[in-house]
Amino acid sequence: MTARRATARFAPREGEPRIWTVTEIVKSLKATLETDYAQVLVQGEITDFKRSAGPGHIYFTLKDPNSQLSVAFFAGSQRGSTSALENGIAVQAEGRISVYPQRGSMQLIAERVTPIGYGALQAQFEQLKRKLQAEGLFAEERKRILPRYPTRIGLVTSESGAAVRDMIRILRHRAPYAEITLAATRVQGEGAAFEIADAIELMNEWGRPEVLIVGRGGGSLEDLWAFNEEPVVRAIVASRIPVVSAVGHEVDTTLADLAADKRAATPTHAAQQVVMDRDEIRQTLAALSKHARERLQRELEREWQRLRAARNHRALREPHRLVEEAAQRVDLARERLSRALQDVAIARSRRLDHFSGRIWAHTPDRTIQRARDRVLSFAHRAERGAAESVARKRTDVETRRRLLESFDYKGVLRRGYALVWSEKAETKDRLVNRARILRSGAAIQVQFADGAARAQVTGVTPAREEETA
Amino acid sequence: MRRKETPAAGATAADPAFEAMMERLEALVERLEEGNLSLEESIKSFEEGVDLVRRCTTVLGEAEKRIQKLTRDAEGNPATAPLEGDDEADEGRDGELPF
Repeated sequence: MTARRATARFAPREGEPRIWTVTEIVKSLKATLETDYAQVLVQGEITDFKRSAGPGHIYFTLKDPNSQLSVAFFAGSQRGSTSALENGIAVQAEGRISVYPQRGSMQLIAERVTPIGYGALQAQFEQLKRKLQAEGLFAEERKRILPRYPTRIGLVTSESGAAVRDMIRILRHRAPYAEITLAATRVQGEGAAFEIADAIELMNEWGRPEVLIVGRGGGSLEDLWAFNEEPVVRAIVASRIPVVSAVGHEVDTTLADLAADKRAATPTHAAQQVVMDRDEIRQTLAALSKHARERLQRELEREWQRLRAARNHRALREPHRLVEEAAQRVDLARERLSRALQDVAIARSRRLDHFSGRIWAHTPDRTIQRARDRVLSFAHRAERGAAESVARKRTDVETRRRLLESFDYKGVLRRGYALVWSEKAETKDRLVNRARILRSGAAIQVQFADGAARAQVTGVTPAREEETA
Repeated sequence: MRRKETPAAGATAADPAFEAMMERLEALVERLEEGNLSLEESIKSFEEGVDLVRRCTTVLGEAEKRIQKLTRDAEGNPATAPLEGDDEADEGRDGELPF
């Protein structure tokens, strides 16, 4: 109505151009465009991507090398996820061309926006990633610990190509003793994902490898795609054998990488990470035996201290038993050490190359010999020390014992004789063998075969000379 | 031309497991380091350790193993065969693996 009236008012005179109001021309264009371009499919790259905070309308610009077109993708038209849409993604946008009157700008009102090419893969990737993530398949706590010293390694990769050669070369160099098994599979193209998954399963059925390397050499995103597919991810997660992923690319992370117990950037890296270099292990072995030896030496040292302490104390009371015990322990230690030493000798003779020499070079003979010498010497010292203290203690007893023995005193006592011992403080326990040394009133003890009697001297009668002679 | 069949579980002196031996060895040394052992136990641990070191060293010195290929046999069971073209172990050549 309004437009028509305006048109009428500014109706052009003959030979003069028609004058449009802005509204008129925009409205006319809008009508024309919406009629002629009611259903179009436009392909281009997304740029200037915006998502409105509230309702979630999406606005972006589609461009190709020469031109740009604004696109509005309203929330009401969005079906499914739009998270794959972002700057740089190639898409096909389907909808109608319209004009936004307030700005007089032309735009595509999209009903559907579909990523294509790389964008399509990316969208698929994002979607699968979210799904598997929600299932917890990439969770850190699912990750298995890799064996540190595997001797059986499984490779899941293509039989042709540099990747398998590189891995074998490195594995053989670092760990020639390791058993390498290849489950060959295609690594790209239709169905490759299923083959890779099956190879992983096969390894698990067989069960021998301690660790698997699953991967391929570098390639384009499309080449690597099998490692982003669900069957591969699930096979890795299901594998009882820990898996190292080795897809040759540095930048992108495949879903196989996320699912694997460890990710290596390339097959070469994977091989290096899976096995420790043989020389490193040998150094570890050397370090371990060195620790053990040092520890044992400290142990022997401590034991020696203990023996020395025993000699100074308990030895005084039960010297013989202790010395014997100590000697026995020391003998045992000596015997075992020399056996260990023999083992060392055997290991030496079995050595296959100069590296082992390095292990044992620091070692043993001299150190163990020294430990042995020390054991021997402390045995001798302990024995000697204990013997000395016994001897000292015994000196007092000795006289008396010898005296008693010489009299075969028990027999004598049984025959009715008695021994007289002094009870006086300063001469206590001295045998009284002469009347002369006794005074009247002296305390004495009379020992019989079956006991003793304490008595007091009431008088002393020295015998005549000839009787005592 | 190659032997098509090898036993599924190849015989290697590395069994039961090198890994287990290394772990045991590390545990022994740790126990020694803790120092709560009697002299008896220490010497025992040491002896066992020396034996493990010897066995591990032997494994490390083992000759290169053949590389094998794992496939499914007619019944779908795992079966191993030497990898075609893996001549390195035989001839000790240093050439490229021709596969």
